[in-house]
Amino acid sequence: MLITQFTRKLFSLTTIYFMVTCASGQNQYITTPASISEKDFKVSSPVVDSNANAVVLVDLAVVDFEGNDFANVTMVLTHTERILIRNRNAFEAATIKIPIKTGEYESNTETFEDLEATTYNLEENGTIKTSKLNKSELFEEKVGKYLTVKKFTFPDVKEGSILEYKYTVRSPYWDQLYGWRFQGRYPVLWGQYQITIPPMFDYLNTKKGYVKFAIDSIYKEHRSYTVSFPSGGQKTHEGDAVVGIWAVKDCPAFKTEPYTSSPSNYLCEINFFLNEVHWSSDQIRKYVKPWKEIVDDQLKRPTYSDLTESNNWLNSDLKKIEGTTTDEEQVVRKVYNYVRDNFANKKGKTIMPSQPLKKTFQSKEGNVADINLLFTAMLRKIGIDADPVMLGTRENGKVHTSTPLMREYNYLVVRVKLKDKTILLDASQNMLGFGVLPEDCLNGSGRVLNSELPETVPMSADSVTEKSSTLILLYDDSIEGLSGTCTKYFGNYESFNLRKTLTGQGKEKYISYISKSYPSDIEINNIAIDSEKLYDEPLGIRYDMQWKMGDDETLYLNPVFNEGIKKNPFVASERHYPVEMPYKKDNLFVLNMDIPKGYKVDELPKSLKAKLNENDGIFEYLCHSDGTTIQLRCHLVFKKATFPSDDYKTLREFYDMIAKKEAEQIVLKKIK
Amino acid sequence: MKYILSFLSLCFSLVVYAQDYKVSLIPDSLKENASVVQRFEEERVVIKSIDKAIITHKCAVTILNEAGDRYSTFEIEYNKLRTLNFVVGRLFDADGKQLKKVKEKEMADQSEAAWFEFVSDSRKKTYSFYHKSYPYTVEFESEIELHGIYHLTEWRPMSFSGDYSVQQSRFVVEAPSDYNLRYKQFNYPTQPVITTSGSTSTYYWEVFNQPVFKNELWQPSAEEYMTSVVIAPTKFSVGGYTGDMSTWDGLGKFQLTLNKGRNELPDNIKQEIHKLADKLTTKQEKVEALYNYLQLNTRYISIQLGIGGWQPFEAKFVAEKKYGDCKALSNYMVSILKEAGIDANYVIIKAGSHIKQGLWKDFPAPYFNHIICCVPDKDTIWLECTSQTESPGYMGTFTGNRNALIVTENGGVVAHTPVYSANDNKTITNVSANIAEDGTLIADVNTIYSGIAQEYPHNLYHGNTQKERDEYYNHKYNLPTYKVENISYKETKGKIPLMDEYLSITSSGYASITGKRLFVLPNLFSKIDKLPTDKPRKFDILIDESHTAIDTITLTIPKGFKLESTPKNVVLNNKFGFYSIEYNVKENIITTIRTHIENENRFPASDYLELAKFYDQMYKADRAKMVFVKSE
Repeated sequence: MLITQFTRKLFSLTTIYFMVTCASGQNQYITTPASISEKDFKVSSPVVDSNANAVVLVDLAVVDFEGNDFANVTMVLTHTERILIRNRNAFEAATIKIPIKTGEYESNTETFEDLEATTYNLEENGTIKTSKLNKSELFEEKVGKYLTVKKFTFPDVKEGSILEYKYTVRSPYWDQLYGWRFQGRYPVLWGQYQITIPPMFDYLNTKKGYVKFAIDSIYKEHRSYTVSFPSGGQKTHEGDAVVGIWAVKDCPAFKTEPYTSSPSNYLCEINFFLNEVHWSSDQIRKYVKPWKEIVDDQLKRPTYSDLTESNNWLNSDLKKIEGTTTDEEQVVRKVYNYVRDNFANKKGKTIMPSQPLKKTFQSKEGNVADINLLFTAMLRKIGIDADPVMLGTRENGKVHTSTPLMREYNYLVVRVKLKDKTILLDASQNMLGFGVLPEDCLNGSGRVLNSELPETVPMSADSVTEKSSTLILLYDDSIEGLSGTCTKYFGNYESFNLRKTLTGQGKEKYISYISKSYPSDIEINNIAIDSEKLYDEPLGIRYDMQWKMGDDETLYLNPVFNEGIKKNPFVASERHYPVEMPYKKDNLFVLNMDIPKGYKVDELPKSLKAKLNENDGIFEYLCHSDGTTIQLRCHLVFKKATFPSDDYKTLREFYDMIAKKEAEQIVLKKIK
Repeated sequence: MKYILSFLSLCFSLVVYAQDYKVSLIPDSLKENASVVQRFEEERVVIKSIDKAIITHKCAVTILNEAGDRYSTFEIEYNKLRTLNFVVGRLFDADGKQLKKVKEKEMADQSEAAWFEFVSDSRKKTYSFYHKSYPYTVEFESEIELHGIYHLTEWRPMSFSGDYSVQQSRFVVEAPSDYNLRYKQFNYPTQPVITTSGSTSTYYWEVFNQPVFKNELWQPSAEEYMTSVVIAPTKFSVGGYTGDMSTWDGLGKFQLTLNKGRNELPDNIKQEIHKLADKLTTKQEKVEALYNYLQLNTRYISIQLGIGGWQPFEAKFVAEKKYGDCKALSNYMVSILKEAGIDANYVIIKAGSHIKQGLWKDFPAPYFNHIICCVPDKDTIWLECTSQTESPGYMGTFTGNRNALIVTENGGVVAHTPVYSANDNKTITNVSANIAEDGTLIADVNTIYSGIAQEYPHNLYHGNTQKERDEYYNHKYNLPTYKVENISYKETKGKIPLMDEYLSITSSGYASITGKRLFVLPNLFSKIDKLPTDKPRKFDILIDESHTAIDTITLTIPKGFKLESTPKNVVLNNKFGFYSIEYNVKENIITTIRTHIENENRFPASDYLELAKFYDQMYKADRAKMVFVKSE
């Protein structure tokens, strides 16, 4: 399980110089896996049950370095994996794909070497049949300019086959040292990663996940590396190399639960971040620097440096956008609307701009960094205090706020300081409301790219509340029954998502979905959507309701109609990680209805108030009748978005109680 | 699971013209309901010789709003047999002024197969103009060269997407006068304009001002109401092989030449076949045993390289590697059966559950995307060779009820694959349930699915782990909070396969209790949805699947409640089908029997409201509640 992306997070951060050895006696480090015997075909392990379609018997990775001919060193990965295919649903594990970085020159191209792949089948007579992969069955496909995929599929694969492959990759990219993911979709009986880091390098190392390492050891060993110069000549670097070995034993398969920010936060993984390179005592380069230096460097990069230019080419358009407005906030809103509505974000989430600001302005397209840097420049041009803020999205994993690890950052927004307040803005998302950050950005905090004060700004899911309200009014129309209206206002995120849906699949589909969500005796008409294009306002929906009640002796009505929680989102009975909702919630439902003429209340649902823990959530269900009308007020509030796994059972029961309460009915009887 | 081969790709291509893309030139009638208006299209096929053709395609669309943005994306596939000569994209503003020109170099070049299919030499160029100032117009122009002609191209000027209108589209085919171009047109009012100059004949088709086409539920196949033209060669040559596809027989003969010499099996496999089959007596038994052998010993891997898109790998390759695509595995199966002395054929078919017509008998052409195998007989046995779990003889929604081309030793023959009746496709559910004092439901559910109805549980059973099935069932039902446990299956293979499913459900709060009343929905699972009636029906109604569902539910409620209101029994019997639901309350036991039968059929559009009324009646009956009051 090779990781090529390093933009992940961790729970502990140590430099690798720290020496620890805590290998327990019985967990022996493996150099070469033992040869395959009959017992390998029948595994027994606490992590293997009938749900494991395959089992990784052994997964070994060794990373070493060697001197090369380009005055540098090459990183050498040797990977061996042995998988038992338990049933046909794991046949896809028999096709192996290995990404290889390619460049224009030999010196920046990875090489793929020494592939050996063999299928082992246990025959009826107890012998083991081997089938080897032919060299001609290795295919390669160019995926992008700098990426090629090597792939092959094993021959003679059946249910019960053991597949083993081994290869070596030589890579010049030691600034992106191979990390290792020990956990995946299949359980791993033994997973081991070993690295020898030359004395010239220093990496920060991060571990995460809930699986305990069976071997977790670091020691020093004297090593020397001889590099050759293209111009001729050689140099030898020697000293204490750091050897690290980590292994997992009986590592369970990983399963993603609902309301998880990113599985990568909880998978068993080890990562490395380049901290320092010292080819000689007078040739030291720091990579992980203090925040101030990092921010300074970032602001000197192409496009970021455009922010300090005069950017006079913006003048005439800014005048048009500004018009006669003088109020500071109104001006910011106008510029925000202009950028949000006219620029296409087609190159995705990144903090690396793809082009100069002027090009972005002219082509009206770019990535998140391009658009938000342009937005910053425009604001500064009219004298507003604006700074770019970089952050890592939820999907990208948690970040280490104290240590600047640039790979953890993949998104850029803008902080605007007005006289009386500070606002965070993202102009790169079409249809996003003013002052709202996309859900995915609510990942803790961001870092302001300001040389004088590179401070953090909080962006937490626990600091944002999604508020919605629904009001239903039903009056006796003395003709067919009750008629009235429903008015609903959505929260910022629901509004944003619903606007996207309305644009994508069209209004019609949504309207028919609403009609269908009511019981057949309630007719829905004149559905209208409010503020569909007013992105700063909550989206609203209004429609007429008509309850044709006929002439029944008894009438039954669920008073929350289609608004109730019908299903508990927490299906699993247990949970290993925290529940991470995208935001806090405040949902209010109010019903005011006449009791239809000729009927009286026979039964009303009982009022109820419930609290989640001390003060994490509240559910109120207040139902009352004065003889001619019925009022219901149903209020659900979550004052927290993140709940530790210990709270899971309570949260699940809380939802359970709500679903039951909201299923209760009002009973009306004909007056005799 | 089954897999389709990928050689059928729509061909997009074009020619240079200066067009005026001013938005003001769009007639109002084309803007109605539209997010996109196609302004200009020309697809031009220039056939140079028996194995050379150039396809140029130029198409311009005006995007009126955000919903149309997806049409600003362009994609063109190319490979060794269809090389890309050039592609260019242009962006215009509302006044028709060119804002941007994109050349091939700036477009993304992707491998179709890199992370998915195993190996393919097909790649695609893609580009998206995500412009934000509406309206805007994008134009793409491309030229593809065919090295070898087999599948030519199709012209489908109209779109299903529900927000796309067409101002103009043209299809031009140039061919040597002696080429014998064949064509079949659908919903085109006249014959094409054909002109001849020198030794070249040119065919023109063109449509103008087609408003947005709105889809309807259960509409007939597109060819019945949309304009399209399919063209095909008579004599053709591809990858060094030649053929004549003016008859199905000829097309079959061509496949024979491709397959020639690819049936040889290694000795060890031959021995295994005889060991398995020779002791069996009937043909049926032998076929079943050998099909099972194929399923146990092979898996699906797609390899599409050059002529390999149409030619199977040799049987001995599959015998050694134990994998192949639909062509290789079907050819292998044919070889295995022949070795056992059973006559078997390679069958070319158009697979997919939405396909209503496999081929047009009067117009032989390679419409296909899949290969299966058949053992011809009075009662032919059809075999899907890419699945490790399918029953021998079962075709289902993927390949059933359509015409296919059987490649016999003498040539091609068209045959129809099995049709499944309401008696074959059944869902028989028996529920025995208990409601406790607090409204909690505990139910034992047994469902016997057959025919098409068993496809879903079949895949659930074979393609998922127990944990995944648990998860599926724990999301499936529309019950408040519930838990599904003890899920088990019994499978019975056969031409009409059966899946017998057992499970138990606990649902707290199933019956809602308000004070002294108990509300019970006695029909637990089978619930019909309403049909939309907001728009007048335009097309015939095509019910393309027959089905029978019978639910028998026995519910025991807590003692001490007496019935307050009960839904009426309902029996509906009409030309659309049969529906009945009846209740029987004896003390505290409610027995509900619900039956619904629907048959494959076709009704005129004028019947729609009546059908909707039928559905509405079923909708209500399915959701009727029973109310009990606590006895004082």
